[in-house]
Amino acid sequence: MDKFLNILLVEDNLDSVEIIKRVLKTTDIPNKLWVFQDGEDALKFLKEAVEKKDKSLFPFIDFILLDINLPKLNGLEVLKEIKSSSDLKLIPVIMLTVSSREEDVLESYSLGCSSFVQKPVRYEDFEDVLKEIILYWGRRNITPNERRL
Amino acid sequence: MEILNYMSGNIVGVSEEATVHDAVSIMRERKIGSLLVKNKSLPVGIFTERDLLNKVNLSRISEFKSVKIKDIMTKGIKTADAKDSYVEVIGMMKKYNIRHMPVVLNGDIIGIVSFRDLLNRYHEHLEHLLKERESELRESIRKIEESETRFRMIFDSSAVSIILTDRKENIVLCNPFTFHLLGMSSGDLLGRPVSSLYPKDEWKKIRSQNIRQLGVKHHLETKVIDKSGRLVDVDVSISVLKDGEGKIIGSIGIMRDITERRMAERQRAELMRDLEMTNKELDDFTYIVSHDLKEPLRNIDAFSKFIMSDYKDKLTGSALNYLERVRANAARMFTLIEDLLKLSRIDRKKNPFEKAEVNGIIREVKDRLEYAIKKKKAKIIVKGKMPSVFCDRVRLTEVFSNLISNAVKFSGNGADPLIEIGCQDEGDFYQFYVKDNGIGIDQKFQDKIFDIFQRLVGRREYEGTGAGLAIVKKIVEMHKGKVWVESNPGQGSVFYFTINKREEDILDRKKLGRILVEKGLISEEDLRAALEKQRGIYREK
Repeated sequence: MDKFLNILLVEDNLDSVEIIKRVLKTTDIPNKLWVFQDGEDALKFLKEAVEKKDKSLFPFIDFILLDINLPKLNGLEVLKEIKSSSDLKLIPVIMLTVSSREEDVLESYSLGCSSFVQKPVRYEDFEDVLKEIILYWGRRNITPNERRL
Repeated sequence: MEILNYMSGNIVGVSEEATVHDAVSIMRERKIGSLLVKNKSLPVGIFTERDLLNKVNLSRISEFKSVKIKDIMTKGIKTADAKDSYVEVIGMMKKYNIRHMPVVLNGDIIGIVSFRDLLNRYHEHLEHLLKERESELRESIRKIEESETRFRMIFDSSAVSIILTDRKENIVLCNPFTFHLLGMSSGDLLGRPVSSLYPKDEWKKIRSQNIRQLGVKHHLETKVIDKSGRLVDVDVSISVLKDGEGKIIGSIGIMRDITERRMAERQRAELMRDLEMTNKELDDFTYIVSHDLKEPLRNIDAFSKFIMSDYKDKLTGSALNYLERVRANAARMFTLIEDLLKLSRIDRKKNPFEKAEVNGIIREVKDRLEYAIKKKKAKIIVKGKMPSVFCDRVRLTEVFSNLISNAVKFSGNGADPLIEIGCQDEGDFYQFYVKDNGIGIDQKFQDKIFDIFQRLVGRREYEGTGAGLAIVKKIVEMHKGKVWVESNPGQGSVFYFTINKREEDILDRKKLGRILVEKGLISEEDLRAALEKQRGIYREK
């Protein structure tokens, strides 16, 4: 049976969240989207989940979709936190942002993101991109997730 | 000088048997001082007035007539050779204690020299020498005075301060500019230790330079204290003065006031800081704009799409059409934002300049545009050899990318698109061209297409390339080059651009504010005021 995906999304724009949710609903791959509007909340959630070993959260998050421009902690800071935590660093983080700034790309990769994707402006293109991400990171790619927990 | 020149050729011979009276008569008559005494035509002696004075008792004048000259003459003949120098002859006369000497040339007596004549001659010579020396001396003095005046003028009118000290490092002389620089009078300065002009730690710094051993030290940047106690930034050169034996007898210090230079340096540093801050702010600003404007646009597009698909059955044709237009506008605005960002980044994001093969750049661009090129069935040829140029490689790639993709995009729907790329060496610069056989550009738009603001206004008339050509222009100008187009509607276009060959020309990049002033877009005062205001804002923060 196909694996059920737990995807964590950090995105402050609720309209954007709505659009992403809509795309995820229409994919063939069963999934649950955990949404946080700021980096602090997302990190708190991840760290608590690890500490409690909350069975209800298992299997744990398969991958994280992370925006850069976020209130409180920005995406790059969140990424840094995740990658410096021994419990969280193995989770693939996909930067999903409108930015294509070279500095952001370089910084993200040097902090250890797994992928950097610019959100296309046209909805159809965005839909394609999201579905590609889910297919690739949710199915094609082997993550260390299962073995670790 | 040979004796020949000083002798008297007037020789008078007399027989040794002649009386003193006769001899004296002859000498008086002929106005001569000596007679050559002969015995049967052979010279046997010389008779002179001295002989007369020495040997005749004048009181017995009667003896004049009875005494014969052979009894009182100087016997024996010492002769001088005509070639002897008068100094030699004087020497001989002194040695033999004689006053007259016959002069002999080739065995014949040709004249007589007297000691007095020679002495007179010698005096004349000495006098002449003295005069010569005197005028030489006078000339030297004149030259020294002239030189002194010249140096005095330099010293007095110099716009640097010159200070001389003695062995004990007390000031003994300074030029007027020193008074000006330090606001002090000669009374304030003369006799005072030179060290007292400097703050203590600065003097220590100078002392540590080992100038006494080195002899000279140039361009020490230090500070001196003026009369009011204010510190003046100066550049000092110090030379040690030594006497002939190498003993130090003092020093010369030359000081230049570099307060203004220092101030300019400080101002420049401040300006740089301001500019950096401005750039940083601009960077943050564009980033925020890019994010905050793009996200809503994406959402507008997505929700429009949702309405179109979710309510497809309920929407009439025109409603669907309007929603399509909403989406098209969102897309256009998105492109505009991207273009503006790109354009603003060219100035701020600086890549290193390097030598780059243009061939490689074109190959890279062709690879990147492969899809579009294939789709249009365009053919791209590179004519001749491409040089390697000193450039911002990333940016130059953008130039070719924009020009080639435009050429492909506007190839029209006619015959197979043909794009030709070439380069010409124009001495100081390379001139590149990208030529197409596409739709061409109307004359009246040819200047405007390079101008982002013109383009935004005129977009209805000219459906274009986004900010692509404005970006091209900016990058080309960054390489100290020019860009232009030659085109006619329906007959294709040729885009030309030049890249300066000289590295130093390219790297001398001016600040934006300066360029605006030079182009007459803002005044010098405006720039200063703007920077001042900005400083104020930062201070408040």
